[in-house]
Amino acid sequence: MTAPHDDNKAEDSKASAELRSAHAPLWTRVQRLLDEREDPLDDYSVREYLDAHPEALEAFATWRARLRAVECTPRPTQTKQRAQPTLRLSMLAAAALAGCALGALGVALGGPLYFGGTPAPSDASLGATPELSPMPEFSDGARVRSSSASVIRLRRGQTRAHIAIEGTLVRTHIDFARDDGRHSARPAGRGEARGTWSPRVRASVAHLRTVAKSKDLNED
Amino acid sequence: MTPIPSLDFETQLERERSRVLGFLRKLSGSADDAEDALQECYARAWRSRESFDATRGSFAAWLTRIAYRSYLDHRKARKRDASVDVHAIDDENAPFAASAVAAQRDAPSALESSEELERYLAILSEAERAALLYFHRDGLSIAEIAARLAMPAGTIKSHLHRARSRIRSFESEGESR
Repeated sequence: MTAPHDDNKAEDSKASAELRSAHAPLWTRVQRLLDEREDPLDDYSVREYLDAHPEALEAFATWRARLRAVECTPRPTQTKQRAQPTLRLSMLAAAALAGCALGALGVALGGPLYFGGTPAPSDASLGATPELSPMPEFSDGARVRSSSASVIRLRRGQTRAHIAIEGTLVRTHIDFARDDGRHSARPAGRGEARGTWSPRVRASVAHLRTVAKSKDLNED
Repeated sequence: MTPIPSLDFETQLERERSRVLGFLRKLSGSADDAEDALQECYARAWRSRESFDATRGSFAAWLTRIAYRSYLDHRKARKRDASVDVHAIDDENAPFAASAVAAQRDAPSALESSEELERYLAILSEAERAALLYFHRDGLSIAEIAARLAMPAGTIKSHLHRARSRIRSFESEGESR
């Protein structure tokens, strides 16, 4: 004979299993979106499903939070230094900043410029290809692997740029705009929850302000 | 349909507050966004209190759905406003400093203690854990993980899906305790 407590536990487990299987289409869809680095809440079918099945909302939110926590899991070498969370943030920011600096250089010089990959076709009218410093190295083997800035000049004084930074630790995409001397930026692209300002995006955008002060960026 | 009297309704709202706030924090990953969405949720719930029908579901489920919709609307508005003036940030005493601190505070969102995180990572097999961390923490593609672990991409995808599912299941088991 089982104890009442065990009976309850068994009932709960059964209910949990039923809940999981009941929402199998949702979980399958979310897995696919996560594989594509899309935010499931950007997907219409997921939003509609959750609206129609509010009993799945808690499980969905918890799962989302857990995966978010995984993204913030310290790398093994920093596990021993749990008391220094800023160290990791600094490293992420440093990687993003370095990549952003290279990308912003592309903005300043009127790109498109590609770093660390296959060189993009250059436009002679945009000026000489700059001498680039080597890819920065960071502790823990982290480095910016490539950075690119695709720039579109809409008219004099109006520029749009997409800066992409691929790193060992970071993957940041930033949309940059210049309108008659006013500079704005926003996170963009896959891998970065759109509308969410992560520390690395904040750091990158903050750095853009420094770049934006430069004379080059304010000239056509 | 018998609506809940206002006084009882208020009491029920108050009872649900911390649960709904917790739900919104998990959904948004941000304490500030969760607070904003909670305010909107409670305002909406109050306005539509006449529409609650206990025969169609629990009060908690009704309120959770309103919270979810409030968050989606808040998120949509945030996206519209996501573009910022570069000159408005980065000063020592400008929003950047405060928001970076807030973002850092919210990063793990105080949602999952590191002990709990370790507990559910511990239930994964080595391959599942590697696939999960390489993909979500390090931002590697499935092809890159496959190359690093010397496994076919399909196998990596299976490990990754299983790892995510087990993390979700772990929560269910945790709730049943």
